[in-house]
Amino acid sequence: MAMTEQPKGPGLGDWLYDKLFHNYIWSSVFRSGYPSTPRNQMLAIATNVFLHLHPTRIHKTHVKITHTYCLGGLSFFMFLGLTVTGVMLMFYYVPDVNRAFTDVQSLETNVRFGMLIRNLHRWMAHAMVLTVLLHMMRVFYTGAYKPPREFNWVVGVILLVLTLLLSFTGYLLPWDQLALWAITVGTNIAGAAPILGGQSRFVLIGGFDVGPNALLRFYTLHVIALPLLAAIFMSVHFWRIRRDGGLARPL
Amino acid sequence: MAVAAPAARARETVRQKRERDQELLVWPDLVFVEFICAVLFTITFVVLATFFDAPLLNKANPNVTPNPSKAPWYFMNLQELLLHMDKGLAGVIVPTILLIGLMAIPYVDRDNEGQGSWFGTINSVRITVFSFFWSSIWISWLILWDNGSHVLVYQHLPQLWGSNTRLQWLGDKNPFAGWPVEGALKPIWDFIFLRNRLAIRDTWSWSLPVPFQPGSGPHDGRLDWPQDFTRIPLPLNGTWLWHWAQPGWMPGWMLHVYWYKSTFSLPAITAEWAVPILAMLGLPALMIIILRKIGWAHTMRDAIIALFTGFIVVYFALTIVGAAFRGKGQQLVPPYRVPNLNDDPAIQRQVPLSPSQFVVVDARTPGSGIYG
Ligand code: HEM
Repeated sequence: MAMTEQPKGPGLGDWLYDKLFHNYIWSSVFRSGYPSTPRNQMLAIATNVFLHLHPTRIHKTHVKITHTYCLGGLSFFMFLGLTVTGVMLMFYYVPDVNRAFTDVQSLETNVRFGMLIRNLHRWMAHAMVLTVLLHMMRVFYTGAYKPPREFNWVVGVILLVLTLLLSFTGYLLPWDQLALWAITVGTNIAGAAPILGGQSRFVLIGGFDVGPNALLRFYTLHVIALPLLAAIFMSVHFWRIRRDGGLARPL
Repeated sequence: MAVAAPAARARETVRQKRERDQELLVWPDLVFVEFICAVLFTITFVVLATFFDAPLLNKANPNVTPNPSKAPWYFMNLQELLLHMDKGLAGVIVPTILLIGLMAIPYVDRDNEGQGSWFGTINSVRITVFSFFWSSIWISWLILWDNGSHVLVYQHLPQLWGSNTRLQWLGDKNPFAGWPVEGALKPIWDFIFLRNRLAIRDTWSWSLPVPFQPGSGPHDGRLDWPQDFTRIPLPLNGTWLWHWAQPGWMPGWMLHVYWYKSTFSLPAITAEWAVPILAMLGLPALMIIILRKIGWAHTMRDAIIALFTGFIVVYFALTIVGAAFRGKGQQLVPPYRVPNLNDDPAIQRQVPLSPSQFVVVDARTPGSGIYG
């Protein structure tokens, strides 16, 4: 009895797959199907607005988790997560000394998933400081700042500063005792500068004490100025990685 | 040609060659790793945020100061540094120099050797380990010394063998009493057994007979530390037409930068600036000299690894001490004696109010809530 391989008829799975991914709407969004040939896989990266920050091909040592521990990527995820949860928090929060605290309080109790959103925002903010520091350490100990990546290291240090400032300005917003006094201590540090200390502290908090002006300033910096700057510097950071020939490798 | 040289040098930078045969496709090899990473990240944080609540204490109250008041944890290292030197030095100058130093690393260490792999140069691991121990030991010692802990430990030594007596701190003794050169030896003895850094300014003292009176203290024919050194005129002091008065024609902002009546205190500057700066520059320098002498460090990269590791160690060490070892009034205490702000009735964490204490707006039943 000669066995010839008969192509199996389409099963339920194939039918479902076909209906889901080969319909008019789906293919209007994703112009091609799953990229299964190397050529299509490269095109998938190069032609997708979100993915095209990547190169299309990458040296195999850089795919190993132990090379980067994903720390830069994680910092970026934190930033995205913070943006999303931050926007949600903004729906409920008014940066006014009479409202801020109660807004946060009622966010925790009255808003469905409000506590979760606030927790996510808080823990990601702390974690981001940590992952950025660890990322800096990994870049250092892999000697990845050497030419031609000098400037990207500098961009990195600026990002570190921005991350710290973002975290610091956000700290004041709940307007509780923890916030007020941490920011008082923190801005006093700035006020200790030898010549312009007092003045710079005054500009930073809009007065002599942490009060309504400080809250408004910190809020504005926290939700607009600093995230915008950070986003700009991150774009430069990522773009430079590609311009400098991908991640560093032994010569 | 001299002008073109630096540019030419920059262009010499060896670029890594592409090894096309070693390359993988970003889709799927990288994109999928990133995707898995993103999923794990999301799950981790949702779980974390479900079980651990962000703190919310009482409403901000400028009249109730928590003791201790602490900066956010990533600035607690600066707050800790403030306890050990002049505030401007610790709060602004040191961090600024450190940031500039960090940015300068790639411009100082430009050799491509060891690039792109973990601890790629020959001695890097042992240099890192050495710097780790060197820095941890010194930073702990400096914090303890500045706290006068060595005095306490010495005084309580007899407790080790069960005795309850206390030893007298060596610095409080005077082994040279009655000696003809007591005046010369005692200050040296005292300096060796200083209680801490500020003692240089506050309790250390000596006195020299002088034929004239240069200092600010009483004109008693002796030069005394610290009294005679506390108001030394700055070079600009009084130089405006040799008048000691305020130069009246100057606009106010100029008076701020023209120190027409400024003096400085040498004892304070020694304790608040000189000693800390000496520690911050001298100890790293000493480390590098030792590393070179024992033959571990040869290149700029080696030196930078030692310094960077030291920076990281000190950064985290100061953070940990600031967060876990500073109690009321920033006293150095064991972690279990650091007050928990949640226990302070003035600061206490808000007990979440029950929903009944809020006006509940229920959109489904018209007439309820605030519109009702
Ligand atoms: C918000 C902060 C930051 C983000 C989101 C970020 C993101 C990234 C990402 C995604 C990469 C790709 C490789 C990897 O994941 O390790 C990278 C590489 C790099 N980062 Fe960052 N980074 C940040 C801060 C820093 C800091 C603080 C430094 C150094 C001071 C730095 C220096 C570099 C350098 C030199 C590279 C190239 C590494 C190589 O060629 O192997 N970055 N960064």
